[in-house]
Amino acid sequence: MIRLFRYLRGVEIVMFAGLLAFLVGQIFCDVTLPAYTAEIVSKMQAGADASSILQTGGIMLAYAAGSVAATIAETILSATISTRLGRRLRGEVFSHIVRFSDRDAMSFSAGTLLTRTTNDVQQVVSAMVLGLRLGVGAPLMAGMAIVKIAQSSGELTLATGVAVCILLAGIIAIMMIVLPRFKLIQKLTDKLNGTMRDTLTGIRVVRAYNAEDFQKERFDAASKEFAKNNLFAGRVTAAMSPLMQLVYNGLSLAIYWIGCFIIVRDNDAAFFPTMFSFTQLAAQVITAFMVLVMLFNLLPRAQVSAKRILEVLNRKKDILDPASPAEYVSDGSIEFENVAVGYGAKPVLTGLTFRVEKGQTLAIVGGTGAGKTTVLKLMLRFLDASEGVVKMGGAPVKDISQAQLRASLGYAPQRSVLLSGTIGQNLAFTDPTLPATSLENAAAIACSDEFIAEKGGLGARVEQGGRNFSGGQRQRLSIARAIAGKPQIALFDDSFSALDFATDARVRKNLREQLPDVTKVIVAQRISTVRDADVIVVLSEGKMAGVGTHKELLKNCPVYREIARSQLSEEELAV
Amino acid sequence: MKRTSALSKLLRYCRRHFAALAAVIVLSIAGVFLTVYATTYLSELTDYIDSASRLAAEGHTMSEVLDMKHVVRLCGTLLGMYLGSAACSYVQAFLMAGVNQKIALRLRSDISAKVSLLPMRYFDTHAVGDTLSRVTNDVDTVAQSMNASIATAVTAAVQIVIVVVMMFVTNWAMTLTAFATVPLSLLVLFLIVRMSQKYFRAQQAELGALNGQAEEYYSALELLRAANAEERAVKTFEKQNGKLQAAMYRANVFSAISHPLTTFISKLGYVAICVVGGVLMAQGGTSLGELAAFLIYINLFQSPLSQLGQVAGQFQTASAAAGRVFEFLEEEEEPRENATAVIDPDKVHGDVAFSNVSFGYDPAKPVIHDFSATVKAGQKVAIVGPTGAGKTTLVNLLMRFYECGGQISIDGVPTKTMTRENVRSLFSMVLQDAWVFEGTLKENILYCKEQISEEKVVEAVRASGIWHLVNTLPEGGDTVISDGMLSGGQKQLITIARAMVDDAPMLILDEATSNVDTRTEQMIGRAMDKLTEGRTSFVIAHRLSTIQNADLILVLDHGDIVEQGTHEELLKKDGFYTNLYNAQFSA
Repeated sequence: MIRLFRYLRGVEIVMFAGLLAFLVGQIFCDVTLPAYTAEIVSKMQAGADASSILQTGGIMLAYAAGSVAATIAETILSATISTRLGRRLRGEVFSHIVRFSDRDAMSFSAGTLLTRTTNDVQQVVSAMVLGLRLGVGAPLMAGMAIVKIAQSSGELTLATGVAVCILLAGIIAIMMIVLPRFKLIQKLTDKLNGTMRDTLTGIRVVRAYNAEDFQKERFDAASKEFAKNNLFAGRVTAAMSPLMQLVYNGLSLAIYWIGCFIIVRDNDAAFFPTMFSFTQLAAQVITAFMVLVMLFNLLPRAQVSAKRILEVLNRKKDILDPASPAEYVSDGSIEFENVAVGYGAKPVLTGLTFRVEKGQTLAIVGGTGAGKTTVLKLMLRFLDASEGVVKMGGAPVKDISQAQLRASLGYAPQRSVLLSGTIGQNLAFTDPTLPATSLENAAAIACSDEFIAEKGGLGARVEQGGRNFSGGQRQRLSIARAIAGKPQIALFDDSFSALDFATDARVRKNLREQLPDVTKVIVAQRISTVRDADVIVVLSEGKMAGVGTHKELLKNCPVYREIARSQLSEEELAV
Repeated sequence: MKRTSALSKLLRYCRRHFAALAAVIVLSIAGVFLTVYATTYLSELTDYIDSASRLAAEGHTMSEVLDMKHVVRLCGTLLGMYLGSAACSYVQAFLMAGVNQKIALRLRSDISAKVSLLPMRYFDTHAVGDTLSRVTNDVDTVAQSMNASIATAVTAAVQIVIVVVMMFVTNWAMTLTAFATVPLSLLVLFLIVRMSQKYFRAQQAELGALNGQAEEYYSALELLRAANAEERAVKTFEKQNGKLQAAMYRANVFSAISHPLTTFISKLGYVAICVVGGVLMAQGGTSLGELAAFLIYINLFQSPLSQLGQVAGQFQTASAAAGRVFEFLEEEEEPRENATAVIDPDKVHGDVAFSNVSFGYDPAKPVIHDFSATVKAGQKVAIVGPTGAGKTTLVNLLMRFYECGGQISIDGVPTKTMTRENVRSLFSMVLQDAWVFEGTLKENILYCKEQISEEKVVEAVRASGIWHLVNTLPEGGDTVISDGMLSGGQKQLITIARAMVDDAPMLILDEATSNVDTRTEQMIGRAMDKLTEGRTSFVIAHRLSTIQNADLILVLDHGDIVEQGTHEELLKKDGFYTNLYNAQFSA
């Protein structure tokens, strides 16, 4: 967590110094106050008049006001520091995440990225600010109060020390018993959630199999286990507040008892008012230690959050632009020369060699996990080849800037994500300055013009995640988005799977006829989608199993033949 | 109004814990009483020391006038009372924890029972995350803070009453002095709570907006990268981030400022008591012991007041959570059934007839208009049509996930006259979204069926083509599988194995294989073919072989059966089907 302090700026460090100064002032006021209680008591004993008492009262009020003013100043300063730091950290985390390389994005799940951006930052920031404030304040408070007590009596100091020890021992014992349970409870919470999530996501299957009771039993079992452990933890922690109360009351009693003993021993009646005020100092000591305990409780959780944030911030980039990028003018061709990719030592894909020219269609087919998407990632330079050269538009991708490369490409990812906003904003995602005519044109090519008109045109709302569109509509919008910016090369990752055959065919026909100069790369499962591509690359078990046209591959690529046979009738195979 | 009703419903859950709750209240009153009453002994002790020191001033030594035995006796009594009070409050908290957990357990159990009773419509119209958070977060919030806040409120109220009574009994003049500052304290609290609530709401709203934004971008990282849109995203995010910072600052400052202010006001009261007490003492109107007692009383009076303030905040969140929980528990359930007919799954033939079936998710917008078809036992029915034609809807109706107009009958028995459970027991189902749950592979295949022979499972595993998978998993069939562990194809094969084990006389199959590679698809296809053998099957068809081999093809478009017949018959018609079919190969 300490490492996150480097995100503090100069102004904030000055504010922190100010905060600490106010803190010292506040504690000084707080610790001095009880002495005036003693003064009032002794004035009363002496039968002093109202004005004299009022005078002491006035001094007390002044100290109280000083303490309040200092506290308010601290509050404002710490709120300023923490919200500024929080904002900065959130911004840093977010901008790191959106600049993640493919590898980094894969290693975190979307859910944890969100937690890291908001909850974790919040946890850490409040722990940092609170930690500094209380971590300095509480020991200072306890120390100053103990010094005040020690100035007049060693015995009472000892009593206070004993009380603090008892309190700490009790709290540590409770923590030791409860902490392992808390960890277990965290796991059980996940299990409880998981079981219910299973039921809800599979509700159709559950009902089809009449398995409602089966699911309920599973959930109830998890629920009972959860309740049992929560109960145990709850019953143990319930001891915390009575213990605290008891130690505080016990210490007050001890002060009276030891005080009387001192009065008798020293024959010193004047000690009584002092002793009376000590009960208040003792309360301050106890409170300070409680605060410290609370802080130690808070820290481990914040530590976990800090670690999670640093995991994001400390990611080293694995895809870098060349020191002096070459000037890039795409000629629309794609060429792979003996390309291999490996995550770590193990190659996942080897022996990729193929070439397509401007305006041609390249199709990639193969099994799940065969590496089809990986090929597209190489083209986008989301990934670097471990061997061989990937040339896009005539230039090796490692020699040009990523921004220039990607500006020349259109990409429809496997998951057709839409962002909330309007249809127009989504289509113009690669370049917000695109004119409406380009967008309309792209939409027409992707056979989206009809449903866009039904929804109310380019200005129609897209809800978060594109919920208000069907899977097929999302896919078509994703295709339109990929071609709206008039890229030299357009990449479609399984972008036709949710379309019915007729629409699939129409979209591909449009692409071919209306974008003759755009090189098209199509990843697909259906043979019908890829059969008329100029070049088809067949991937199987991490290797390129064949390359050529539909006819060529039917003749000489057994893997392709097998795939085709599963989808086409005998007559069509013969064609 | 909603809040009180959520509370009264929660009280219904509390009813069976009446004894424990009564004990909680009695114990907390006893604990409070002991703490407050102990103060009178402390006051007596103070007076005793005070009078002794006055005597000492007249020339006695302290050892003559201060009897340590008396001091120890008083301290002992006090210690006893404090111990008693601590014991009371521990037992009280112990019992309360039990009640909390039992209520939470029952709420969760009721919710999971409710899940079984809700119509499918509910799940189709509510996000999983929403329901999930009601079951866990909301129930926890209710159990933890609702009960705790009720208990705290009761204790605090009792404490206030007892303290006030004790104060008046001790000294009315000083009591009035002490209360002079109370209205001020309340006013400050009230104002700050109201202000900070407003700011907190604003903070939550901004946080929600920021979360939504980040979530959306994180789900589209690939897209951002490909579109060189990272900078733009950061800019948009920073705008919202700035708004959040401002809102957080206000909420932070306002909520934190109440503490020092109320502390100051209580010190004001403290000084007032000292001054008035001092004056009264000079006139013999009070004693030092009484003054000491009052200083404690003020604390004992102030702390429950600020507790009440906190409780009010907690109570609001808790009652909002309770509202959400009870809203779920009160959702309209599927109507009770009074079945008049039963079909024994072992004796069913499998003739299915649709007559004049009509349906719309929204009654105003019918999806299926008027649909009739007859399927003979053992036939394979292929359902084809463009996206959105109503293919899934047909399945929904067949399984009675939704109720339709017209009539669907099995072996001549209208399904409406049977229980839903009976209807569903006649079908096995394999859906496009292959569903596996977190459990062992074996549990996933057997699912809720018991007493299935080992051989039958092995047979299903072999036939569905997951034999290899079972053997590669670290613990074979006993490996706990979860969603992320398996590929789409593997999950699909597991659901097919599940259907094979289920071995129902009829079958519903969705062949969609959008996330499965072609070779796995082939395996799945083979497994599906095996599955359909000898069963009346309804197949949402995506494979050519299925269409060609189907005994009956239902061609759907815009919710109507536009054509039906075999592949050859339909091709001859040269209609919608022919277009659909040719589209695949015309390119």
